[in-house]
Amino acid sequence: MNIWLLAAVVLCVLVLLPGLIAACHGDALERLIGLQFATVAAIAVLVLVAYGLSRAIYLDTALVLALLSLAGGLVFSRFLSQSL
Amino acid sequence: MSHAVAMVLLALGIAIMVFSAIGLLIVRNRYDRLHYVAPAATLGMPLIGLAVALDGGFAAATVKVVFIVVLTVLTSPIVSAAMGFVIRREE
Repeated sequence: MNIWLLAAVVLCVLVLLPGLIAACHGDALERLIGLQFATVAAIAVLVLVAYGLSRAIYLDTALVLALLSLAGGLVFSRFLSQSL
Repeated sequence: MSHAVAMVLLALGIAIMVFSAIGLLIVRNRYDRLHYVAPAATLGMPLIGLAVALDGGFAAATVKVVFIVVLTVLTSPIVSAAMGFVIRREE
């Protein structure tokens, strides 16, 4: 295990997990904010795992997640507000 | 040399993300919670991406990492702004 994979594990436990916990507490909008935070953490974890394993093709998952988080976040915000 | 700089940048990026995660769990107000997404996306992610780019050198993978980071930095504030807009409308 190299330093990049170790960093990915640290991010998983200390950043992704709190994001998921935040995505389980509060009302709908607060949970959505937690989900957005968890998505940013997941992108960082995917980049670090791809680099740690020296597989450039794995970066595509992070790229797709980064693209979909914009569409997903805006669509969920639209559902929570009838006026956006 | 560039490896050491990359390690420092990686540690800084992870520290910023961990502190914003702690802040996300502590606060109860919606606006405060929304604030903690910003440092992770616009400060933590670029630092981690910069660390990977410095350590990887000029390669196709580095270009992809830089593209992912730029995408995150540009799109995350848009989603945050949309959520802030929804919060304001609900009040």
